Amino acid sequence: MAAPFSLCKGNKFLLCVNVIQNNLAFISTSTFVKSPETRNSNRNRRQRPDAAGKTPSDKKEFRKLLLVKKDARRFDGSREKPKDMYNPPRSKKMSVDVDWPSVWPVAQTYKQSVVPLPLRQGAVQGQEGTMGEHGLPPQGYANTELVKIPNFLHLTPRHIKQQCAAIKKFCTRWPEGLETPQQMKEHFPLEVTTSDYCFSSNSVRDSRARVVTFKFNMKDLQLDPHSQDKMKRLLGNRYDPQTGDITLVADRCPLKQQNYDYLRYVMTVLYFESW
Amino acid sequence: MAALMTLRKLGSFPLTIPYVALRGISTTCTNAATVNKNRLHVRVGRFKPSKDKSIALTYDESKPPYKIGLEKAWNSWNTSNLKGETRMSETLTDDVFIQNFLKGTWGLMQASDVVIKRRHNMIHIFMHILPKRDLQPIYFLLGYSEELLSSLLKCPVKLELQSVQKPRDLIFKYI
Repeated sequence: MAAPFSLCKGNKFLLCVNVIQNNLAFISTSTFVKSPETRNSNRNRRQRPDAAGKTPSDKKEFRKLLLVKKDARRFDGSREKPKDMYNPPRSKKMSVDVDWPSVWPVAQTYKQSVVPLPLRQGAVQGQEGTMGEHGLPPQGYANTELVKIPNFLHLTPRHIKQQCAAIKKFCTRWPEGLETPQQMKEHFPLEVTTSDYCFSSNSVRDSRARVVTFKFNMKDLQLDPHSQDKMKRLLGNRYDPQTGDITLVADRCPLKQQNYDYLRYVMTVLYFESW
Repeated sequence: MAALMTLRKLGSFPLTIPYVALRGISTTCTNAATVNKNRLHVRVGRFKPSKDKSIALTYDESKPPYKIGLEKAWNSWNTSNLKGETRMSETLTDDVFIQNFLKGTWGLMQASDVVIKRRHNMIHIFMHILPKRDLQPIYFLLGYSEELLSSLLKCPVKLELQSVQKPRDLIFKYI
């Protein structure tokens, strides 16, 4: 609106004319009545500046003074992060007949972005504006409870089928002639029992795993009455008179293998001593 | 979120047990000297409501300790509680160490409590984080945590992270 000030006489006249014209334009626009000429004149018309360097739109419009920029940045931390930072979760892109064992091959903590099930967990007395506002348990997103519990998504029937099929080629048939427990006992009279322990620790060793138990029957040993009697005296309470079972337990050595060898030695010594 | 919460709430706790449900740990005191006086009136892991409902709580924080096993699960899963199993105190100490280590390493990027699962030889640690725009520092901290914890705890450690877009996503309740 402000016309350039110049102090020469001629331009002073032009200045007055400009001011009057601008005021008239302001008045005419504010009353919202336009003459037919002005209505059409401003549309699709290349506006050429006149001698004073002003275009017609400059003269007619009232230039607003902007104190604050429209797209001012507010530094209150609520700026939205760019959308490309967060990809949509994988569960949304997954097809219904996806090969689950390849998605979840091993035991993992629950990942809500990968598992396509709409699971919820939590006991709710929630308030408005929070996760549990509608009375539903909280969803999987940002839910620690779903993560805490152990999941068995790595052991679906499909998993087991695949793994069994992979192991099958290494398996051999159960030998013939060993169908019943009696047959097994007849061919394999000695029963060796050991325990392995499964636990969470940074060491694999467990001292309880060193215990070895031998179990066999007096009938399986070739003994005459004298040696049988001597054997019974040597064994003491390791011999069960009703069944004839002999149970030898060893835990004196630190390793399982050592205890096993020791028991073999004990068995040999017992036998030869009783004869 | 929880990290900020703990900073504010520490003053009101009578005991210094970490604010996390640990397997095999009882969070009520059964001291004979105090039983008659207080009738087991223990205030661990609970918050006094504010007048304008301004205190934000995550799901973990909003459930009191006696709801562990009912509405809330343990934060640490291991076999030390079973019969004949040793290493209960070592496991517990390791858990506390892991929590402190991660709090110091990740700081305010840590959004939720640490969930520690021990499977055989391995320790799987889970945490919610608030990711920054630049992911390279996060990858570095991840590798750094895993390496150091593995060498300190003498077993493979896997750190699993899930990101949360805003801290407000973890809020369950306002009191």
